[in-house]
Amino acid sequence: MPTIRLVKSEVTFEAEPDETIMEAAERAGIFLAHSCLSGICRACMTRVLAGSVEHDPEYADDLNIDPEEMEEGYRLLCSAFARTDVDLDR
Amino acid sequence: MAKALPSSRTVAQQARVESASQILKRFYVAERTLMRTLAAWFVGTSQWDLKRQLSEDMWQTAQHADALRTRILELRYPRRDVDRKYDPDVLALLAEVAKAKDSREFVAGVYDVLLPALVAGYQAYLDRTDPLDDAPTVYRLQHIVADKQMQIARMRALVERVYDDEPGSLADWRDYLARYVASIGGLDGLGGRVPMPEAHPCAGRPPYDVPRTVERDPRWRPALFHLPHENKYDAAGRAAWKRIEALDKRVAMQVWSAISHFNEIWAAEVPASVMWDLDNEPWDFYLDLARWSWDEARHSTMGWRVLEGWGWNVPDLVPWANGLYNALGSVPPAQRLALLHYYEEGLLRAGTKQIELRILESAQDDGSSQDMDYDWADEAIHVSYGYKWLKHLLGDDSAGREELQRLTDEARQIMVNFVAAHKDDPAAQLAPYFERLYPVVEAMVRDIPDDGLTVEWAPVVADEEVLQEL
Repeated sequence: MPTIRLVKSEVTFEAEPDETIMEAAERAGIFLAHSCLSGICRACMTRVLAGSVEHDPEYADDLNIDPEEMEEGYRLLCSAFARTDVDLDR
Repeated sequence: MAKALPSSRTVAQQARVESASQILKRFYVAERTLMRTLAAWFVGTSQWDLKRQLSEDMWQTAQHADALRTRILELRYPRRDVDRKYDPDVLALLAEVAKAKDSREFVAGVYDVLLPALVAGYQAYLDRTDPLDDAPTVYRLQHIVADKQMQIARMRALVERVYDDEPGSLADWRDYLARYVASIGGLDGLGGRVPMPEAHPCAGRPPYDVPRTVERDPRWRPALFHLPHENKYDAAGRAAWKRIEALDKRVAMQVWSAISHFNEIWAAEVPASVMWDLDNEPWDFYLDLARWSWDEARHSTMGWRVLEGWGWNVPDLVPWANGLYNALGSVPPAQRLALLHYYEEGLLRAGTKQIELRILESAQDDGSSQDMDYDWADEAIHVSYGYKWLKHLLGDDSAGREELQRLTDEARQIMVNFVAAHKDDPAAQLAPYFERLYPVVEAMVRDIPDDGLTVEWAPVVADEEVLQEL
């Protein structure tokens, strides 16, 4: 099970393979800014500092995130899964 | 010998698909243009009761236009023409409607002449068309007619409540527009035409434009700002607010939230003004901005409802500011939208709405909590609108993103300059409000027992740089 580390907050939690990082945070009782839970409002957009995070392939084309932002490591946590242990810029 | 059975029923002229789509297109043009006109006059109207009703009716009009547009495209109307080749008669009529000299006259023209004429046109269509063949149109028009009749009744009741008497000039304005409607054969264009009222005393006014600066309802004193974080120079206002905060931080948060909500009216005015300024964008642009604007007017109404609900004399105790709109009213429409988007996305990404909601929930303020909960949901939609349409306006490439950044930075600097330029303006001083508010809040909290909860103070950030400098 991947471990998510919020680097600035110095908090870690684990994510099931089939739950989004936002869902995993909520299950762990951790507050992350969000709103739509559908990848359109960008409230949860966060930079991945280490590890692999993938957007839900079913909705990847509908997400409000630019290719350049993706290249810079940003992901929408409400619509993304951790594939390895991950460090997030939070 | 060729034979044919007789038609099983008689059908009306103009009820075939081609005629129906042409007539519905004319209605669509009327609704679409009326929507933009209502948006502009919502901005230009200061009287609060009329203002928020104009906003709601603007959004409903957008729904009516959308329903008609959808149906037109089902009736073999070419997609490439549905948002082109607008009927010039209808555009000319709506341009005259917009030329009202004030909000009172505008309301009289729309709700006493234009909307009844539209309803008459819809009713004639419903009487003419076949309820089986054209059932999808019938369903839509029946709902539109019901909405319009409600709008007319509601606004007429509101006008009676707001105004004591009626100036004689209103009768002239109604007469002029009624004659104009008749000169174009009614909204469906099928009626007999009379000469255009070119010599009428109300004819020949200059074209309307959305105002670049707004005034608030005269029941309120002039105010440029509404809370101390907006104006770093207002030390007295900040000190007066801290006295309220010292009574109880969570109570102060409840008050802050309601005042902030009420003052979201500027966020309704920005998209509404953009709807007027940009007249040739894709239909979805207007549909989205109509929703954005109406949502923000709803949020403003939420704040006002809470303040009224506490039994306060709101105009006396709560500033209702116009600085945010007025500072940017003259910049290009995309730049106005860019700053609004910047604020809304920033608030969501900072989690401010969630924090506010938690504090309101901890206060067991169910009304304010529910308001904030829906506001939070609405703002997510607005950010997606801003993201989508700013790309459309500025370009979905690196140059477009750079331009968005440049426009946003420049708009923020304009705001900073505006604050500095008005630092000595009496309308920029909030202390008198908060000094009047203090004893009211103090009396309300006096007998409420302390529940012992520690509440983290979470101010609503409008400009983080200004806040950091406080």
